[in-house]
Amino acid sequence: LGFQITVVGTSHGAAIYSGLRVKTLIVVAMTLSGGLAGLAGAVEVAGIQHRLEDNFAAGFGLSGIAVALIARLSPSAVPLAAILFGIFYAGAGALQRRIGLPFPLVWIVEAITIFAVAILHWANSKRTAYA
Amino acid sequence: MPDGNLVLLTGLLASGVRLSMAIGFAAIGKSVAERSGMINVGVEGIMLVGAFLATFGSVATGSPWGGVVLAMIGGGIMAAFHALFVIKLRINQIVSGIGLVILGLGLSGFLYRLTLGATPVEIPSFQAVKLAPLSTLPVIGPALFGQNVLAYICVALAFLVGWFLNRTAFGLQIRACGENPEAARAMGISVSRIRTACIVFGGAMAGLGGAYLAIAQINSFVEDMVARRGFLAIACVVFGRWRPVGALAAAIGFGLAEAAQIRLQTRFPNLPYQFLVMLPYLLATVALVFSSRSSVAPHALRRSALPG
Repeated sequence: LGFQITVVGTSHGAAIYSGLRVKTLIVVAMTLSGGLAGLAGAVEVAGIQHRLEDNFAAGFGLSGIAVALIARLSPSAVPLAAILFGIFYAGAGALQRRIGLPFPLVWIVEAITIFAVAILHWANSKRTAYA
Repeated sequence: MPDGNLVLLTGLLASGVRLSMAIGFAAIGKSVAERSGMINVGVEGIMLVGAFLATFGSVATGSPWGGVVLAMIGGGIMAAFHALFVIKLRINQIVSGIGLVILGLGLSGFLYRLTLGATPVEIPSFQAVKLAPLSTLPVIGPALFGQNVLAYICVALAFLVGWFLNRTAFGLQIRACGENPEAARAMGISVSRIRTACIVFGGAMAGLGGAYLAIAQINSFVEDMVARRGFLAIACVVFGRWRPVGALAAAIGFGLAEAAQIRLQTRFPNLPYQFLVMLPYLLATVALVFSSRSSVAPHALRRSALPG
């Protein structure tokens, strides 16, 4: 199933020609992803905050996308990227408490990380292209 | 119809139009960028920076127009950044867009807390301009003729941009870049230059949308105030079938749903208000599902790789 999903994502045409049920696979992948996102919400409420508040996961969804992008869409790299962002959050909180730097700084750092990773990727592909 | 309902309807139309203009500006700009074949999912972030810059600029210059200019310049710069990444460095458009959203969230919040956050100040903002005899028309008067200057500009821009895309040579070149960039290139059009221009225009418009929100609709800056309107603008472009006027119409439809939702909250006090807040978005999702069936998207929209 995992391989089939990858094929659909990499080459839509190839997936159709090899007889994969593309639409079903997309729905399955989306459902899995939604289920995991729901699990993330459950972890935050049941494991960390122990109460349900409005807007308790402010901006976490967006950071989730950022983490996936930085991990270059490979699940095994996700924990590393996620821990990195966790450090950003903790660090920004500490900076605000210690020297009063505004917390939104964390978003700027996240964005710079995304662009930096993208540029690294671009530089790498350029090098291999000419090698 | 009894009088009370008439008043309600009048207010509903007027506030619906007022609530829709911020999305409208962004959607008009975005429809141009998408016609040239580029997707920028970072509209949300650009609108946030626009909202902050508009607040800052109108306080600094003492005139809301100063805020508008600053917001458009800021939006244009952020979009130029996006263009540099996706056209020059050929980085995935979605990656760069998400980066912009997060960057905008951070920049606007960070700078706001550093500059205006500590001291509450009066923000020069746009007031409603009542076109005297017309704005007293029953029901539609306030909605059509009782808005602020920016709202009129928004409607005019929608038609102007639509005319520009369909009736001028440059508009044709833009559409050629979106439908078939290879052919456009063969015709001697600089695809990347036109696309950059369209992205920057889209960014300036998104900045303007943010400015509308901050100094014409809410009259203050609040962190994360764009509240996903940038993503709705993307939906409006699809729903409006990539036409500026259509995109604005979709935005107004959403604004009306939003206005209705706010009024329903007082009608059903027992219902959790979050449920009603959700409704316009549900509506947008359902509408998208149905409109995407007969999609007329520019052909080159999802291919970020372009020749040369």
